Order: sequence, then structure tokens, then C-alpha cells
Amino acid sequence: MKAQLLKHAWLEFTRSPALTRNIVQTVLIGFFALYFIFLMVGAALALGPILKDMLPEQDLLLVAGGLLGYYFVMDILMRYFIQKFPALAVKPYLPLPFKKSGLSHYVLFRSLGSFFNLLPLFFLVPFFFKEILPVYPDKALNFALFSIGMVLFNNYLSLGISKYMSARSNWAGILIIGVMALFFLEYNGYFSLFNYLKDGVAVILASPILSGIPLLLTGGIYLYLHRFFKQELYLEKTQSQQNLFGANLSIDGFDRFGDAGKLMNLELKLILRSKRARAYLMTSGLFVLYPLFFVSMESDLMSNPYLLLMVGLFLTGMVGINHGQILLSWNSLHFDLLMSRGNTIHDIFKAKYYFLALACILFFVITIPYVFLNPKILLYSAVMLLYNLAFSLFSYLFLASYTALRVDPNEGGAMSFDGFGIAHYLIMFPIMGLPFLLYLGGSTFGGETGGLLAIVLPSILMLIFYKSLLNSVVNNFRTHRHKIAAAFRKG
Amino acid sequence: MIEINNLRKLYKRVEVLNIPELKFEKGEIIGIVGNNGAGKTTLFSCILDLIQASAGSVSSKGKDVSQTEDWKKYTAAFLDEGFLIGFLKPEEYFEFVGKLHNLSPSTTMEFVQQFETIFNGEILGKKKYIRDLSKGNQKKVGLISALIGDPEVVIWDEPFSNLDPSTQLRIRGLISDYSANKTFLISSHDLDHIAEVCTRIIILDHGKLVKDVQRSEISKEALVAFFTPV
Repeated sequence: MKAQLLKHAWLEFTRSPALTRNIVQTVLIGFFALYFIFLMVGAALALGPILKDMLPEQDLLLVAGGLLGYYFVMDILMRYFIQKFPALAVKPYLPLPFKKSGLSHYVLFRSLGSFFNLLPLFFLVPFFFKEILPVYPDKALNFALFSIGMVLFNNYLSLGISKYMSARSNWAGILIIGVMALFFLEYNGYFSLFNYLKDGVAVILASPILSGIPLLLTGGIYLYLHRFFKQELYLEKTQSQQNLFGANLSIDGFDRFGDAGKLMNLELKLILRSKRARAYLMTSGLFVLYPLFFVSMESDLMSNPYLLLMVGLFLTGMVGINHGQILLSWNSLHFDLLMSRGNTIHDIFKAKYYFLALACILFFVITIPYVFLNPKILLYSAVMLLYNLAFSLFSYLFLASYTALRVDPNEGGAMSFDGFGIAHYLIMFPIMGLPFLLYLGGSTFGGETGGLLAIVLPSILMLIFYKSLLNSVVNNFRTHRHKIAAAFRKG
Repeated sequence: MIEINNLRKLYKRVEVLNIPELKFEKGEIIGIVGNNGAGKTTLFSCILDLIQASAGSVSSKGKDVSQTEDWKKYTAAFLDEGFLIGFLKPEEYFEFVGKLHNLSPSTTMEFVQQFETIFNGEILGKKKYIRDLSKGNQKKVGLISALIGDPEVVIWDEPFSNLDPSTQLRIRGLISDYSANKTFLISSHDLDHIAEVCTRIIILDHGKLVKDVQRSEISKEALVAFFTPV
């Protein structure tokens, strides 16, 4: 029986849309996987020599322990936002003669197959054999116990958290603010999480009993979750999330956009009430923190125009990159209604454009306080805002008028790529590359001002011709509409 | 109202629909019957410009539906879940559809509330998203939404399937009550309902029109006999 379940899990993986729907995506996912594995193994091999070089007087085990502690804190945050748990995957087995207890063990076991559990192993195993075992044979066992224990602990803790918090994700906002505060305090030297972690981990690693604690806690959480799932595994318990924070938000101001405004409120509700769209919004929100990664580096890096352009591109354009790329796919499930009742195609595209444009502007406004960090961030963000409003958004609109894939906005999370075809990957090259080329061209003639003008002027020109651009998108969509609508119907 | 001319639809060179000529007028309740694969849904999809006809055309009020969008203002359809918006509550969905016809939310809700006997207390005020409703309740939401805004053309694909017997009869009542000055197109496998409510009956078979008669010209027995396997 158990073998059957595992076999099905394997089939589910090998036949998943991500691996079978299009070859380009499969290759890309494989490439990313290899890239991350390479990074992890590389870090494991290089970390020892680097630390010895940078901090020769410090004990390697101590520093590495502190870093690991840091990683595990970040890991739990990342898991909270990104990791998905396959609890619903057992639904078809519930009426079959499987024991509830067995299914519960199966759900808990399957959660181990996550990216978040496998990836650290590619770091931990080589690091353990290269740096820890030969130099600290007496503490090697403690290190192994502690690090494996922490991976498992984080996995089951975040599974537990996600079970409890799924009804209310208001926590996300608090977490984001917390992380921002932590970054700020650590950066300004008021508080050093790293030092506390280093000392704490050092105490733990000194004793085999303390090192075993994460493993012990994992056991406890596992048993608790097992009991919880055994009781909670019922067909009727699979209702979707309701009454999430802000899910009933509706903006009357959209009405001023006429017929398109009705669709803009629909788009807002779609984002707030669909799992994946919501997760995408969270990711966009996290990118607001993006410049903080650079301020902690050397300050002359922050005056590099290309880096500032990139910061501006992401700060004001992340919603476009995340949400706007699969523009129409979000409406796959009710596209026939949009295509046949009341509104026109022009309304649909106009609503999409205004919605994304307002989102870009909103993100620009939110990030204005960075001006205190570095006034140039504001200038470059404003330039890139124009670029995003003109070039990026219209690229997504044009792309959507040619081709689209079906997406169920309530399936998957921040890491799902359903709806992305080869064109969606390819279009990122011009969108991300063009501002740098324009700047390069402009700055050879007029320095920084010339570079920025080379981005601003074409963008303004495009915005002046907004109406005719929108019309050509609509006309283009009219030629491809049946093909796109048919793609959305394929379940 | 609606005019079909030499309409053909092929999927990979297999013809699924071929209708040389067909006209639907105002005030008609047209029942389309036919076994699976007869082309009922394909015909509806062509009328709604959801699929591209391989040849021929459909016009609504004299205008080709694939060339203009005017018909979208006065045409309402419920073919399947593709017409529902799963992440909305039923009330929000009705209000959204109402807005498309420039109705205020209160006008829409006033209109919708008269169908409470059909909703049976399971739809309005339940604070459930449409995606969490049962198939039957989803169908009720879709059918009723197609009546909002007094559309001149209403298209219902299999309105009786998935519904309990009482609701089927209530829906049947709705068709007669709301068909004045409308072109009402329904498809069904239930010959009883079709014979009872339609003013005109069309039988499709393998994409071809095999019978197009006024209700008075065909007895229920003749209709059943047509589908009795030999």
C-alpha cells in the first residue's frame, strides 16, 4: 500500500505540468536546479578558505555555526512565504481502503521532498566532510545532529505554522516589517543577531545533548502534526481560504475609468483572493527591501548608475514582472464570460494597463523614503518608473495579445511557473537589458544626464502615443483571440 | 435577431458543425436537442464568437458577431463554469454582471432576490466564494446571472442537468416567464422539458440540422421516437 502511494507521488512529480507541458520550461527548471546545486556545493568548498582568509583569528566552527544559525532563521521566513505543502494530494485516497494514520504519515513524509530540504544538503554534506570532520572530529557528530535536526525542524515547524496561519495571512505584513526592522538594526549596529546566533550555536555544538535538541523537537512536532492530520483528513475540510486580510477590499475610485474600472476591481479581488496571485503580490512586496541588500555593501557600489537602474527597475516594475507577465492568463477560468458579455476587448486591455500602471506608481510612492538612504535611488526610480509604464507594460500587453497559457490563480504559489511559455522568458531579455543599453548609449554623449534622458525621452514618447499603442494591442488580440481563448479552456 | 449563414466548423478536418441557414427571431424559445457530439455547444460557441468558424458567419441584429462587439451588450449566456468568476461571492458576481449592463448594485440585488426560491437559502448571504459552491448551486448562479440586465438574447446550455427536480421545474417556469421579447436558446437532453417549454425545436445530429419545427408541429411522442434506439 505504502509502495503504491510513493509510486503515485513519483508519477505526480514526473508528470507534473512543470516538467511535461513545455520542454523549454523543463530545461530551464533543470538549469536552475543545477545552478543552485552548483552554488551550494561551491559555497561549501569555498567557505572554509574564505573564512580563514577573512577572519584568521576566529574559530571556523564558531563562525560557520553562526552563519548556519543565520541561514536557518532566514530559511524559516523563506519557507513561510514560498514552501507549499501537499496536504490536499491525499484527497483521492481518502475514500479508498487506506488507513488515516498511514495517509497522515505519507503527507508528513512527502513534505520532506521539498527544494528547501534538499538544497541545504548540497551545502552541508560537502562542508561537513571537507571542513568539520577532519578538523573537529570530536564535534563532528554534534554538528551533523544539529544541522540535520534544524533542516527537519524548520520543515515541520513551517508545516505547522502554515496549517495554523493559512486562515489568516495578516502575519505576512508583520513579518515583512519585522525583517525590515531587523535589517535596519543589524545594519546600523544597534543589535547583532549574528553575534547572538554565533554564541548560541557555539554553546549548542559543545554538547551532544544540546545538539540533539532540534531533532528531539522535530520528533515532538511530527507526532503533534500526525495526530492533527489523522483527525483533520476529511473530504469536507478542503474548502478554500476565505476572509483573508483585505480580501473584501474594493476601490470605488476605479469607477472613474468607466467600463474598464469595473474590470479593475475584478482584478483587485482576483489578486487578493487567489493563492498564487496573492503569493506573487507578496514577492513583489518583498522586493521593496531589495535596496537594503546593497546599502550593507561598500557605499561606492550605490553610486554605480547601472546598479541604480537595476534597483529602480525592480522597485517600480516588480508587479509587472510578476503579475503583468501572464496578464490574461489570470482570467483563464472565466475568460469566456469576459469575451462574450458587456465589456469590450478594449476595456479588458485598458483595465489591465491602468491597473498595472497604478501598481507601479504605488510601489514608486512606497519606496520614496529610500531618498534618505541615497537621493539617487529616488531619481533612478522615477526614471525607471517611466520606463516601466511605457516599455515594460506595453511589452506584456503585446505579448498577451499574441499568446497565453491557462493558469488557475488559486493553484500553486510564488514558485509556480504555470502560464509561462518560452516567449515569457525571452521577453525578459529586452525588458531587463534595454535600459542599460539606452543608458550606455546616452551616457557616452551626455554623461549621467544623457544616459537618463536616453531612457526618459523614448518612454515619454511611448506614453504620448498610449492610445494608438493600446489600439494596436487590441487589434492584434482580435486576430489571436480564438486561439488564446481555446488555450484557456484546456484544463 | 440571429442569422446563421453557411456556418461550418472543422476540428482537424473532421466536420463537427455544418448549418447552411438558420434564423432565430425575437420572442422564440428555441430548444436544441441532439445526442453527444451533435454540435449543440459548438453552435452556441459560434454564436458567442468564442470559437472561430471554419466557414460562414453568424450575425446578430444584422452585424457579424466576429467583426463587431455590439452584441455583447444585449447577449447573455451560461454555457459552463467558464462564465463564472470563482473567487467572487454570488452577490459580488451578480453585481459585477449588473454593472456590465450599467445597473446599480441595489437594482441588481433587487432583481436577483426574487429568485430566492430557486437559491433555496444556499446562495445569497452565505459568504462563500462561487468556487466553493456545489456544482448545482454554481449552475443556479450562472443561469440567473444570464437574466440580469434584461438581455435580448439568452443562451443556456443544458440548464436542467445537475439540478434537483424541483429546481428543474422552477427553471422551466423562468424560461416561459422571462422569454417575452427575448430570443431564448436552450439545449437539453431532457425531451420532456424541451417539449413542455419551447416554442420551436431543433434537432442536430453529427453537426447537421435534421429537424427544425414549431412545437405545434411535433408531438412529444414523435420527439421521443426520434431518439429511441432501433
